[in-house]
Amino acid sequence: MNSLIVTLVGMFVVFCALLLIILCIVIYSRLIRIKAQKPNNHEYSSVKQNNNVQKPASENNALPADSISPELLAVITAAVSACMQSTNTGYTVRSIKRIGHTTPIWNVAGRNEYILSKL
Amino acid sequence: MWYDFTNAIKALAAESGFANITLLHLIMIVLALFFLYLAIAKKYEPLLLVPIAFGMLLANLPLGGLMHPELWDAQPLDYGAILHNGGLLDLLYLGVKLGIYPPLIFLGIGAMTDFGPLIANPKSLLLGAAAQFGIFGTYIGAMAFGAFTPQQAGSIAIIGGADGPTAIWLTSKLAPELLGPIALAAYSYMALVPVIQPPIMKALTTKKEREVIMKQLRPVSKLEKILFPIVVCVLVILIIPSSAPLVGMLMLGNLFRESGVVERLNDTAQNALINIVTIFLGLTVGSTASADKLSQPGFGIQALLIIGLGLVAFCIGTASGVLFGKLMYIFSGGKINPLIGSAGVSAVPMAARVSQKVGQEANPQNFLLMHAMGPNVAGVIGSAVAAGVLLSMLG
Repeated sequence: MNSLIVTLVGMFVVFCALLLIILCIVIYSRLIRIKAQKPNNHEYSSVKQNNNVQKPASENNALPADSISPELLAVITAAVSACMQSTNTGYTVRSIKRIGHTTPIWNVAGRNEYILSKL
Repeated sequence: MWYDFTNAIKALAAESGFANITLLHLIMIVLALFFLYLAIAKKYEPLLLVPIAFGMLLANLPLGGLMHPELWDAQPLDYGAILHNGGLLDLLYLGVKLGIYPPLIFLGIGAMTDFGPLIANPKSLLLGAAAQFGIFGTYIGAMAFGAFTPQQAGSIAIIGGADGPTAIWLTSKLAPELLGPIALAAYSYMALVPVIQPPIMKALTTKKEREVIMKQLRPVSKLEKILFPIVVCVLVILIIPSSAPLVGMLMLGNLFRESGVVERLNDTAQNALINIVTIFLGLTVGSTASADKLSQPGFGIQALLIIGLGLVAFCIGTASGVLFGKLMYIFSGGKINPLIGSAGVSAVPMAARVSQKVGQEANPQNFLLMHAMGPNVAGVIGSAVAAGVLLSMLG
């Protein structure tokens, strides 16, 4: 068989196969995300309603759901202080925000490798 | 008494390897020692190169009886004779000849691979496809030399896929007589990815392109990851049925990993099984590089051409991946860093690490590893598909 024909057919088939995979991934990913969003919207509205109902409870000095306890605040501040190897109070912790564990593992690996290379 | 003693010693000496060793044996032994040096001292793919080089050493020690190339040259192949008269390596080589080991290695690779970056950015599959041009471009080059049959040219071209098990699988089907040099070239170039790729990547991209910081990929849900191996397996095997052994096992391994309900099988596939099969595969592939092969007329030139064409295939694959990356850079309005294109040649995860390294040289704030893993794992699927196409058309 002509080698040029083999090359053209080969590349065409490889591209077609992978394009078809792309199409399938896009379709099923979208369907899954749409399905996942629907119950979230529902949950959000029910939470909203519950918040309205439970408003008096937060007035009784109870901690809001997204806040952290004073003990945890102290531990984090101490950790920051230890990490900076300084006991003077030249800085103030103004806010602490929880970051979800969404960082992909390859990013973490790459970042660690870069940090280690600079040590 | 003394006469009998000396006669016995003479007979023993005549039956020893020293009396039967030839210059070709010595050349192959030195070559095996050189590969051992590369694997142990230079750490070039030691997991594979140590068993390959040792297999080569064992096969070239005369009268060892571990491997009998004449049994494998018989036409038609007499499996009964191999089972009765074959040595240890002959019996283990059945796994290569019957195409058992490479799919089992793919099972382990599937269990180790996270296809998340690919699912998060499906466009990167195109880069995995573009890099396969190295395979088909080299096929034209190998045919132009006129020294190879179409089957041999296809087996040489698959080195451009930078995927050892795929190269071994296809060569065992199309041109088993070239298995030794092709396997050695494939694994050597995979080990040399950090040396071969960066100059090509830098030559084909501008500093501005290399500095592009790509947007963080979205998190991928568990359901998406579970569906991926099933969808890919069904689709690819329906399109190219001959790729079923490689793609099927790759996706089964990945399903073990992502389903989360067969942790023991997942652990076995990505540790014990792949290690056992790697030992068998390396030993037997190495043992095919025997002195008898070297004595065949024209084999030395063929081996040199294979090494040269393999390098060409690898370079074309890298270049076509980067050039397609540049195309995506233009069409995305500068959002895609073309360096991730070079990871489209498989060599997981080495090629992706090279993209990360070259990207970070241009911009220390750049973390391309995750983005390059997409085309990198796409390259595994792409080269398995390309191998299936070549087998269908040339087998």
